[in-house]
Amino acid sequence: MAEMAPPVAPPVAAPSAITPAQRHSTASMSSATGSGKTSTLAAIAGQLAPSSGRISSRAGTPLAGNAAAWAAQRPLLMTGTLGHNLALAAPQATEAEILAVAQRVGLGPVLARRGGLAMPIDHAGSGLSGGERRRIGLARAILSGRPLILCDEPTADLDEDSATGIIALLRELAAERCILVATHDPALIRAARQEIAL
Amino acid sequence: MIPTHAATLPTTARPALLATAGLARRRLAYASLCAGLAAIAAIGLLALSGWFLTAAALAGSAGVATAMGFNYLIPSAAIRLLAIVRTLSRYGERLLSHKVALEGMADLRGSLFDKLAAQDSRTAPDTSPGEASNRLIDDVEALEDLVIRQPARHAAAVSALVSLVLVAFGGWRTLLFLAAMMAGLPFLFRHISERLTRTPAEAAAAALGDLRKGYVELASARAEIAAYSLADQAIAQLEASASAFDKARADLFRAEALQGALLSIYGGLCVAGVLLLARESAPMVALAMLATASAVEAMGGLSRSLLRRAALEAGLRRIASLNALDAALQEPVSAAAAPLAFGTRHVPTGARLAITGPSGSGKTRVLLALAGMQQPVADLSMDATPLASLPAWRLNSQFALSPQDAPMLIGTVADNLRLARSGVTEAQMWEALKVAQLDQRIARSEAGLDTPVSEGGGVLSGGERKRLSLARALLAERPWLLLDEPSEGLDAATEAALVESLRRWLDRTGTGLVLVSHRKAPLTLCSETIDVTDLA
Repeated sequence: MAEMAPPVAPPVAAPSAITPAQRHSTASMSSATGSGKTSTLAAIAGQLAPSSGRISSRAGTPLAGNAAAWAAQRPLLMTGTLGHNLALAAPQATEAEILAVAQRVGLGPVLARRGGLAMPIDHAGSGLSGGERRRIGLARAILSGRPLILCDEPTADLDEDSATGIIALLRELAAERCILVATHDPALIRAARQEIAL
Repeated sequence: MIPTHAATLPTTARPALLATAGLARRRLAYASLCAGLAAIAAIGLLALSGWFLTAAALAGSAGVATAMGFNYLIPSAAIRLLAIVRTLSRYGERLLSHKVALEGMADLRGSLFDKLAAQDSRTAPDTSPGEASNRLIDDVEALEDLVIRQPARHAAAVSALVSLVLVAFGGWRTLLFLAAMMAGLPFLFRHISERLTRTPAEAAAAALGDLRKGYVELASARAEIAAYSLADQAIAQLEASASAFDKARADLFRAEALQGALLSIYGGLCVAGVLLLARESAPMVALAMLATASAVEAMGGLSRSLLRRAALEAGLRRIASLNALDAALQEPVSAAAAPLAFGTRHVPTGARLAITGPSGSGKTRVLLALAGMQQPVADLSMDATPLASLPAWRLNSQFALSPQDAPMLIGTVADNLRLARSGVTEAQMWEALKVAQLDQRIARSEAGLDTPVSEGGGVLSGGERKRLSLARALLAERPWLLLDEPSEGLDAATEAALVESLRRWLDRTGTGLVLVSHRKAPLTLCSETIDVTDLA
């Protein structure tokens, strides 16, 4: 989906063009610390001007501003219901769609425990674990329907079970979207079809 | 009338505090003297001008002969002299009071910090970082403001008294009238301003707090906000507290303006009263009226500043209680290694132990309890004594912690390493950096050990900051090393190298290790594991 020249000048030699070729694919980006993974993600999302190189789709055209969804390490939560928070990037989504995605990312137990999509959420995310919060971010990215999902360290600080769950979910999602993950996690790197070392 | 008002203020903590703050009281007294002189000169200037204008007008209208006989040179010279005295003494006041306050508060902050650092953070009240920084920054700033304004308060009192003396030129009736009006002013002022400003001031402070918190939360999610174009919704999140803040501030300004207007009206009433009651010659009445105006103004300023001081009283009391703490800072020294016990499990000195358990089960809390930073929730003991009954300095002498968030101080790499213990040499720093796999990175940097570090790491990345924190813990040379996710944020190759060099370092020094990590590589350092859920 996205063909990229490395947007930052990394201290290590990097290939001049990186091609996560297929339409649906996973690529993991790993590198020595401090070489700019987060900046690269931000540049792909169009939030930073790349300091070198260029970002384009496979067709060679610039990447549209709404092509990329962002699954953050610590996703944004707004005061309101869980349903509202899941559908922030897709206001037109129906309740059934939201519910399906929520189940899919493994929020089922939370929904059952705390009263479904109407569960009230405050901006500090009180009562949600780090893993649950991250799943909300993923569900939001999926619901947005965007073809490219950028994930920033999706398994950092999680225990092994939660991390395994997230990796399985990303693997599944890769059948329908292009997923680009910035990570240090060897298990996650193994799960990706392509590894880009910056 | 001034003493009666002062009696309503709690004065217990203040003088002692100013004394312990190491303030040069003599210099502050000079500042007050200057301020008093400036006030007298200002009133004299006003009163003399009033007399001079009126007398000159009267002399002029009485005919050429009288006008020729009117000596205008002496009053003109006096006015010029008073103006110069006023300017010079005001300059002296500002210079002296700021010097005293700024130097005194710098010393006070240092001594308060020492006292805070000496406390056992598990038991001492109000030593959480937020609370402590409030005291060191906001409360001390309030005290500083108080000191800077002290000469001005004295001057206002002097000014009020001198004005009363001048008003006496208007006759005893005017004197009595004005004395009564001025005695009533502080009470009236206090009453009105409490009614007008207390509620909006509290509301403004609360709304500002909400706004700050909300903003920080949203700013950390900026990537998502940008990706999904959620800026409008994000701003709407802040709308409620922003408009509450705006409204409270508007109310506060309105209340303050109203207060000022009421003070002006009060001054007008006083001047009118003096005019009605005075029976002296016209120039004398003019002098009395102008003196009245400045007396009311001085008294208004004094009331305002006394009120302000009363509002700062809580902060001053907080500093005073902090100041009363024991300052005996225990220099952390390395002691002979002590064995540990986790529940019923005994762990001999030099052992390497991993604490395991699911996310959120309290692994980090065990490390913080060992480091003496939190009360233990699990059953932990050292030397067969429960941790809770051991003083913090004993724990400090046993454990060196590299915490998960690897906090840094603003300064250089070397500054941050020196925190480990006193007397760290450069060679030792490089050695520790080498073990932490950071030596090449620092050597590559132009400034070397003088590479600047900010609270957030500065030019160092998250993983580099983590390793700098590790190097610091190694340099502390304690019998036990406590590591919380030491390889988080590292790539696999660096992680492997780090684990290897740590292993060699542990072998060489015989240091014990208590490790929390969910990554496999560091766990290979440990020969024993304890599940944290078994401890609760």
